[in-house]
Amino acid sequence: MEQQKNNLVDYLITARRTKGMWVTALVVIFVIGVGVAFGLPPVYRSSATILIEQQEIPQELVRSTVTTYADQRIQVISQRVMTRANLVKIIKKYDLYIEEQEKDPLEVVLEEMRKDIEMKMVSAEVVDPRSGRPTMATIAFTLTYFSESPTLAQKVANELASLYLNENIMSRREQATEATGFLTDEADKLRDKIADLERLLAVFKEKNVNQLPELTQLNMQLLDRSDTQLLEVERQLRSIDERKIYLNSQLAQLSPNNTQYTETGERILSSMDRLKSLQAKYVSISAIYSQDHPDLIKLNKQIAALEQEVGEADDSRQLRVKKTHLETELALAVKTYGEEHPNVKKLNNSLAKINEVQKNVPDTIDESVSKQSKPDNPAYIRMLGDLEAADAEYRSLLQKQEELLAMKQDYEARLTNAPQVEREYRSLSRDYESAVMKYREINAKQMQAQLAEVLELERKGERFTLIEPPQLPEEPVRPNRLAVVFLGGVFSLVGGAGSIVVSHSMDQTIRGATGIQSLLGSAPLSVIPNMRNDEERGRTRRRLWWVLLSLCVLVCAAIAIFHWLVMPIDVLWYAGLRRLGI
Amino acid sequence: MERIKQALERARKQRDVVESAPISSDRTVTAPPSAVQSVAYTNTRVVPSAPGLLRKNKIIANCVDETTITAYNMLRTQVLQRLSEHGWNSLAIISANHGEGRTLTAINLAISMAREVDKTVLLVDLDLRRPGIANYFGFTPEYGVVDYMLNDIPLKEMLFNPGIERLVVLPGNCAVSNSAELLSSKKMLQLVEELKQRYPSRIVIFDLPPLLSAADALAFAPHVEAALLVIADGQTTKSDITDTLAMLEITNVVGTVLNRKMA
Repeated sequence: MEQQKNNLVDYLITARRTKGMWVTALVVIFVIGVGVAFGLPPVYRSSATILIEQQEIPQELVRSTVTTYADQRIQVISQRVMTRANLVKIIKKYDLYIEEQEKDPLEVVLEEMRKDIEMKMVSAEVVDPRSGRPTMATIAFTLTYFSESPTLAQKVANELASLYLNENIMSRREQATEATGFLTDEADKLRDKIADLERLLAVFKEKNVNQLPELTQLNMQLLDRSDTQLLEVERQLRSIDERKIYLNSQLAQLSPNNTQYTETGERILSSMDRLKSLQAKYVSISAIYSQDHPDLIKLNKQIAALEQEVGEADDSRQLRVKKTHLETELALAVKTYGEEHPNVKKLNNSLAKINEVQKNVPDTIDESVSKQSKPDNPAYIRMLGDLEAADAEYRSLLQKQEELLAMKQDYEARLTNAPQVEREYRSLSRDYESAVMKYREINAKQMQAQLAEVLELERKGERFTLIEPPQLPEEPVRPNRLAVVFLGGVFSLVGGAGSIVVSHSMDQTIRGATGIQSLLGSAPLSVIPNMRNDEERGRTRRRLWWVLLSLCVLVCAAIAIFHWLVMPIDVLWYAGLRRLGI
Repeated sequence: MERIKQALERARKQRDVVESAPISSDRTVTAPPSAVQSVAYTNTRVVPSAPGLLRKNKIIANCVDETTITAYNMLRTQVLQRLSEHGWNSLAIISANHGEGRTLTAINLAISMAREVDKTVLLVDLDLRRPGIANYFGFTPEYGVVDYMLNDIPLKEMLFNPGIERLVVLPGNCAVSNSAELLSSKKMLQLVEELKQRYPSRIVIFDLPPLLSAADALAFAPHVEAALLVIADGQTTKSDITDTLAMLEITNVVGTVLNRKMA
């Protein structure tokens, strides 16, 4: 306590010692404060309040494609509005910041302008209908512009408000149109894809027309039927076979030709029979006679004629005849000469040769007989006809069997391929179906988006409404001159006190008995008070009077100079009152 | 504490003396000094000073400001105690710089001492560069210490009594340049010895020039037995004090006095 008091006394002593300094500091700071208070230009503000209105048509009916939150959108719009181009346009339009433009680069001026624009959200506590919890929702926002001129403040605030409104409409429309465009594009793409798939499907179906999975049942039936048919055909074939055998056997028993009889009732031999009998006769005679025997020659001639008649001059017959000859000769020679005789050998060789030749020549005796002989036996002919019919039928049945077999193979192939085809088909049709589904979906969305676009275009969606246009401000909001004066006063006091403290702390002189005590370790022997004689007292008083007088004169002079050189005092007085807001 | 009490007691007694005696002497200011006063002053000129002048010069001779007188008396008492402790009888009043009230302190201390009936005080102005004690008493001396040193003028020609009992002043009258040499000269030593030993129970007070402004005080310091440092409140800096004390290392500084204490 004592220490504090001493400190205070010390400060007071210092204050008295350095009164010139701190009084100057105090006065100078206060004067500066007052100067600033009255020198600062007035700043007016003008605000527009813009309400964020919910969309008119219920969300359940038409859902907007603009789904961002209002405050977020406002921020986005702010960024768009506060672009250099927009601000420069406004600056040019209203000739703002002329002084600043002269000394600062454009960027700095724009920054200045951004500082003068203020956007504030107005929030309200609402209950979220979905969660039921109270949340803060932005319901409106205010746009404020600060300016040194009230009219400019109002105009620029107006301009800004309309910029915000337009930007909102534009951005919403843009967003809605973009959504629709996107969906349309997607739908088109899908449509193309579906067409492609359809074409592929058609080609596939065409290629695998009989193997499609839906035909499996039918193919199975067809296979069954062909099987049955095949069995039937086989059975028929078998019966025809039997019939043919029977007919053949019948036919074998019949002579193709009718036995002809002369008037005498003697049977006329047919050329064939005659030929045969002649040939038999030839063989028997040639064994008896040499070849030059007239009987033999005659026989030969007869045979040749008959052969010509019968038409059996072909090789096989000759070969057969020759072979018969040779065999006959061989048998004779063996009997006559024995096995080792050269003639026998020679005959053997010839026979072998003939055999060889005969092997190569088909034995057509039967056909030639049936062909060449012109049967006239009606029974034979009928039998032959039957046989031929059976043959024809047989052949047709065979053909049918072949056909049936081919069909069966075809059906079997179809059934074997079916799973593979099915797989491909399924994958194709799945793609197709999903594409179609997606297309439908997108189509529905597109319709919705189009609806939403209409909503935005007709301004039925969420929108900004200017509910309070900017007013012409009557009073400046800044600066609070009284406060600045007061602050100047406070600062001047602080400055004065600070100067005292500083000079006290800078003071190197010794102070009081305690100072000596602390410096030297021993107190002074005595403390002699400052004596003042009458003259000094009088001088102090006189000086005080002089100071007061000169101060008065100075103030009067300053006022007078101000009055005549700057502005009349009464004008200043009223101006001051006005600025103070009185 | 006991000592302070005693000092206060003594001071009070002294004040009674001061209040009775000097007032009567004031009244007889123009009267020639009576033979009863002191045999020692028979050959000393008495030059009474005008009371107004003394008051103006802040000399406590006829001052009524109690606190100031008490302060000087306390100083006197303590100084005397310290001197008598060691059997000293000379004291140099020193200060670091000009204008710290050294001369006034010397005068007032001398007056205060002279008021003690068993003491006589000789105040010597050795500030040869700016002698000023005589001026305080409103007296312009014909000769000064320098005249004694250089011209061998006898001391009795220059000693004077300013109308205060048991106080004799040896003034200086003109400034000299080689003051330091004079102060450290052998003659000065002889003078000092003579002054000190002429009368028993006499206190010799030397008013020396500022220590930090010239070599004078330092040169003279070895001649005195004790020194008193005058410090002006709020004027003398701490470094000046420590410098001064460092210079006076070989001299016995009996103490300090804080002068011009602000209220």
